[in-house]
Amino acid sequence: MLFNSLSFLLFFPIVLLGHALLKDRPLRLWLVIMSYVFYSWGQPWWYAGLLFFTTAVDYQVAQRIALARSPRARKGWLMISVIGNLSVLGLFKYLEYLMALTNRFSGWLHLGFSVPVPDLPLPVGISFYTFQTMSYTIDVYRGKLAPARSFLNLALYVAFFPQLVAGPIERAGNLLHQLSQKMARTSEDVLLGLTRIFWGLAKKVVAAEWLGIVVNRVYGHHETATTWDLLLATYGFAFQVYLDFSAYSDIAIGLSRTMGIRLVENFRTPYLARTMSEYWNRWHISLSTWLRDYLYFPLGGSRKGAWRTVLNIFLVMMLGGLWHGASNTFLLWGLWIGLGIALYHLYRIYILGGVKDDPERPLAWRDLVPIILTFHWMVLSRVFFRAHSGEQAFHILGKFFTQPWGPVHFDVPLCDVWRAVGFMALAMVAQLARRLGWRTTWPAQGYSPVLAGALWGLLATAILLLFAPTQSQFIYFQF
Amino acid sequence: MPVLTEKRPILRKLEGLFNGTQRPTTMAAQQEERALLKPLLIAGTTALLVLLGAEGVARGVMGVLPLPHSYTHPRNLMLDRGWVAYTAPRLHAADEKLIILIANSQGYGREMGDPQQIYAAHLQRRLNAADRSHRYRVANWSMNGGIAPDMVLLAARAAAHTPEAVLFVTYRHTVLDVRSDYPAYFSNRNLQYLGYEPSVRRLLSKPFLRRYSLSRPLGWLTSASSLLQLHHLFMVPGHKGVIGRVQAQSRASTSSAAPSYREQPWHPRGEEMLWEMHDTLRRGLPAVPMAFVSMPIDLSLMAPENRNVLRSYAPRLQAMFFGRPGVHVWDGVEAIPQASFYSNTHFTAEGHAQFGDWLFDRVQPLVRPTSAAAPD
Repeated sequence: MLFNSLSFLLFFPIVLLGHALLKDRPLRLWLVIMSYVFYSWGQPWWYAGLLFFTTAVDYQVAQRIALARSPRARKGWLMISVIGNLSVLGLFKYLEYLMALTNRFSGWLHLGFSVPVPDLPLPVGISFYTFQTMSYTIDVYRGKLAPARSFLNLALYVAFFPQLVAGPIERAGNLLHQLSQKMARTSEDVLLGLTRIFWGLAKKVVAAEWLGIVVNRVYGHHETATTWDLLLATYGFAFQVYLDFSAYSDIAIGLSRTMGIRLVENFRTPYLARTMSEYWNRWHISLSTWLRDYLYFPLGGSRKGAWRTVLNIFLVMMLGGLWHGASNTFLLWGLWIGLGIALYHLYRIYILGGVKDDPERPLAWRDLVPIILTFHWMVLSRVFFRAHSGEQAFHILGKFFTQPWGPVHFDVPLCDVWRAVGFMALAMVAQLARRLGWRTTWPAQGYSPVLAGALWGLLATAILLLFAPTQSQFIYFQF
Repeated sequence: MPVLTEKRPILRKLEGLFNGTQRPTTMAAQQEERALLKPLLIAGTTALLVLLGAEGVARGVMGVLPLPHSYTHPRNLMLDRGWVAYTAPRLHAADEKLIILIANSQGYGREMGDPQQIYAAHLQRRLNAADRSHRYRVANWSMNGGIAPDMVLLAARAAAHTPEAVLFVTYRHTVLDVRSDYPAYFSNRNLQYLGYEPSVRRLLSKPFLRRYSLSRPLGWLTSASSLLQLHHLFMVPGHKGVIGRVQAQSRASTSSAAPSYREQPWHPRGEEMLWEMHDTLRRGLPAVPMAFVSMPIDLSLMAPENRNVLRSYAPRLQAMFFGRPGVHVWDGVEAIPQASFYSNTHFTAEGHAQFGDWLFDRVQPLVRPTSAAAPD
């Protein structure tokens, strides 16, 4: 079910009604049922079955880990969970890619064999909930967390509909704990939650969708598109994916907040990062911290020397890229981001003498050049993220760097160019305002109903006036 | 302590279904609920007031905007932008004879700088010159790129204007073919707006409403709200947009940033849409003569050469409407048999003039009948 659909407009009040009438265990049961309805809406039934299966396995494994007496047994149970989760993910997400890759290598090396390439559907949100359940069992194994008291609690933690399909990837320590409690909410929670829902919807149906029209048009005809068109579309996509994904996170956080649940923030002005390392810590925070805690640190992090750190960064970012999708383009995207982080790491070690920059330091004028460099490194990475194939990505990049630019000329109609530039500028100003403290983060207390209502009215007006004629799903749904 | 459940037996039953006796039973819990409701009511009312205020402002803006109007402009700027004009009441004078022309880029005057050189204007001049006792007005409802569903909408809208005759000037591809390179974005928007306009909607057939999904629960808002009308005017045409139903298509798509639409047949091949045009107009205007005019070339081929002169379309139209009262079929090949009057894919000024003259010979008997005009 899409957040920006009429069916959801009917679905959510029903959920809230149940939330108002029920408490404790019946409330959790209600939310689990509605989460499965949300997930199954318009999807094959077995997707929900797979979700249930994953939940059931991890529930059992966590219980066994907690009960196991020897470290070896604990480790054994953990391996069952990790292998099980990765197998499910691998089967549906990576098997096809691996088989195709095998055939390609076989062709290159003239080995004379080919393996059949399965055509398996990709269940929506599988990467998100698999990572979430894995973090749960790993945390139980590490002793950071007690196993869920009941299967219902864990089922709700895994399937909680606001964040099930596209995150934020919640840790059990935060979400499971809240879902096991009373789910108390104040009027501020409800007002703020609804405001963030409106805010996210406006970002999605106005800005991201309009940018998507330009991007789809240009990338769909990249062979004939002018270099200026491709430049516009590449910048446009960088902002589209940010607005689209952060809109989803806003709506997810808002929906949860109306039910008294606080999800983690997923973005912190990522396009104003001064280094690629900082960028990665501000973009899709729930994924970057997951990779850091469950992959980068176990690999040794930055404790084993500069070059081992570089290797770790590349490994993590390569897997981070593949997490998004089983294709060469995402692999290249991850490696490109990893290269940026690694270069900064080496620069910091060998040029700056290992001095660490404080990522929370307020912005200063001297940060302008690093911000621009980081931003453009990220924009170039988006070519890989958006392209259908490595060939397409390199063709577009080749156009940027080898073809004469000539006078400014767009095949995209000028009205679309201006609209896209306008939305990009607005997105940048909004980030700047937040980073410079002109606009504070969302208030937690003392949120005036009149102010909230006025904001809802204004955002609804903006949506009605400016909504794009498309209704596409969120980009991160497919991951 | 007052017990809330005693005062709300229905709620009590409801909650009992799920929850036993979980309803708050203390004053504190009751206050907690009220504390939640009051700010929500205030915020909701404020939001509604802001929205109503914005709607009022939009209504004011719509009132002062110089919208292109089909009666005051020799050609409209595309139905897509000027559709509001079609919801206006009848504006032509009582002693005026109105002919409504529903056509596409040729009638719109594509590649023509001066609207007065378009065949519609030429036809109007000829009619006025031939009959000084009446004033004639040719309402040019031509759309650049208009296709069959647009024409059905306009046929329905024509009923509000009581014309003397309605002319459908079509290419074969307008109604019979599906051009794969033509996302019907404008048509979709026109459908979403005019399709919910009550006077138009009542004349549209149920299959037509079903085909174009014109039964969304809140669809009526699109023609009722000034905010949404203003939104429509902000949509500067020019880009190839997206056909609806993107959700299902994107779901089917396996690649992330895949283009979010695929071409889909926007109207059925064959004669179904021609019948829709005929039947819709007949429902609104049972006695008004209508004419189906076939254009002389096959524009799908985009090459106005002699070999592309279209000879099969008009016979097909004639076979379809043979014997239908008040329905005329005119073969445009007779008007311009040679391709010498085309600049590129559209008429030159000479081509427009010749086509206008040819139309005049056929339209005049319909609007000033000295004897009953027999259907062809």
